[in-house]
Amino acid sequence: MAKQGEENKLMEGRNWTDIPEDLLETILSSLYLKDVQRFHLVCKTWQSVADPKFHHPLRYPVVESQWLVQKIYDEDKCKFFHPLYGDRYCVDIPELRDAYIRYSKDGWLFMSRDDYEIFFYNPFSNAKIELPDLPSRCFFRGVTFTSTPTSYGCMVFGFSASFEDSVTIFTIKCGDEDWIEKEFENNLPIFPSHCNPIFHNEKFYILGKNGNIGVYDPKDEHWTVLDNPEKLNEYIYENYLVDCDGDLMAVFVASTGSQISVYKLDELKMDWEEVNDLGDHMFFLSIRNSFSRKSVIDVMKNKIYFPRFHGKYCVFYSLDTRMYETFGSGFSKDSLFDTAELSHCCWIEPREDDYSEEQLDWFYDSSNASDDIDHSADSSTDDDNSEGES
Amino acid sequence: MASKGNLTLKSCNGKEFIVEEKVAVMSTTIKNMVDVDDSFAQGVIPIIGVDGKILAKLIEYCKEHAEADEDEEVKSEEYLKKFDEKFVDELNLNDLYDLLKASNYLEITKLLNLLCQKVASMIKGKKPEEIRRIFNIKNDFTPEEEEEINRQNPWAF
Repeated sequence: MAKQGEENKLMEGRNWTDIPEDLLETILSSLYLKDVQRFHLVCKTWQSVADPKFHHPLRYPVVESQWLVQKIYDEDKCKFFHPLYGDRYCVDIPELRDAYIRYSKDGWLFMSRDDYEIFFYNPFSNAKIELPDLPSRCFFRGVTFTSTPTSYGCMVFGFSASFEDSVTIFTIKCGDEDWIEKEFENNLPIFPSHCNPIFHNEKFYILGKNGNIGVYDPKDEHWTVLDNPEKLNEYIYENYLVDCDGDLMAVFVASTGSQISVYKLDELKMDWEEVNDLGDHMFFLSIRNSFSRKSVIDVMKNKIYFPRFHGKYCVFYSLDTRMYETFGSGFSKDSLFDTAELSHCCWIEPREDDYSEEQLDWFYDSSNASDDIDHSADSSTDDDNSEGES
Repeated sequence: MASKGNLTLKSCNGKEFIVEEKVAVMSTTIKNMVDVDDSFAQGVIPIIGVDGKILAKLIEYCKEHAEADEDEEVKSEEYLKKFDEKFVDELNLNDLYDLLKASNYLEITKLLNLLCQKVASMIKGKKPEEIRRIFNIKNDFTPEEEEEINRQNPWAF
């Protein structure tokens, strides 16, 4: 029978290229690295399936991934780069027009626009938190903040310093309308490096160009430049302060990268101690923000990632090979020649953040809403309903 | 006619299966049909594009899982794991494909994930040409295109 024959023919083989795309995506989501690549090489249909794991940082925010984000001042576009997979994404965020990235932490960007406007922006949830205007027309020399801006007690810390004999420190806490501005004479000279300060063990640390450290304690509003560690050699071109699992660490890079050293602060001796191996850690450095993370993907460990590119590949320094390399090309050099710095960028980590509408209001006083002092970002929606007083 | 608490499912080649409602509603699609229109619960539910052989397989899977959801004592997690393994191991390639499509249409999420895992495990560690051979897929890249993709991706060693 002809019909039977037709059916038999149909039984012979199924067309695996016409599987719905979301199923191919699910299949792809349990493949890694080389298998992902090979999957894409099977045929054009399969090639067109995007890997949901390392796909668009905004559409599929992958927790525990780090991206370089670039926002050129007069463009609406935000560009995202993944250092390992080489993925590049460009997203229109009109909210960010004419704004500069100043710092980033916990998935939030800290932005400034025009002379006085400053705000937090979360590109993963499109949430925005506006802050009271800057206290001075000139943006801070360096800035950082303590915790997610939706959390109770988040504090923004900025400073300016024209000479090495004094600093002016500006702070504002979630809920406050005005900045607190304080000028301090330095007990010892410090010339702040170009990298942003960090918040470490409840204090703010500013790294000096020569490796000395200034500390601001927000509890007693006390600023001091530490006697030690002593200044390091004079060939430093750039340096970066990093909190690594509770240790204060710093990376010193000589001009063109010909020398690079990692130090850990021995807080008993108050001395920089050279470190030759980061173990499972990865360092992400940029002048706007620097941090350390444990690697989730083995090949990424023991490397220092720079906001620099060789061609289209992100450059890192490997502490295993003592060379600057990339994942994409055979690039391997003992200096940063042939690499270009990405401008107006910083590192960002997609985060799953949970907050209520009210927490996007800087002046929302969460301490009144609940007697619980530890009223942080995980406040449930129950709180929203029980709001009666405001 | 199915008795109360049972549903009748009819495959595209006319085979009818009487199944307990709790088994049938493992499929979100069927659950929605029954929820929206009571007449489905009385009459026959046509399962478009799924033949008797595949529908029997789907029911076999849903039955085990629905029973396990009801009574963990009798069907433990370990039992289910073994059942799942055996279930996918016994499938030939065409059944795997048909089940994938059917469970996607019927929205049987657990089974869908299991089948996708199975396909992924068949791909793991294999070269593109081996994958093509297994799934009977034609290579539609030109050598130049292949080279370009290899060049773009750091993992194409």
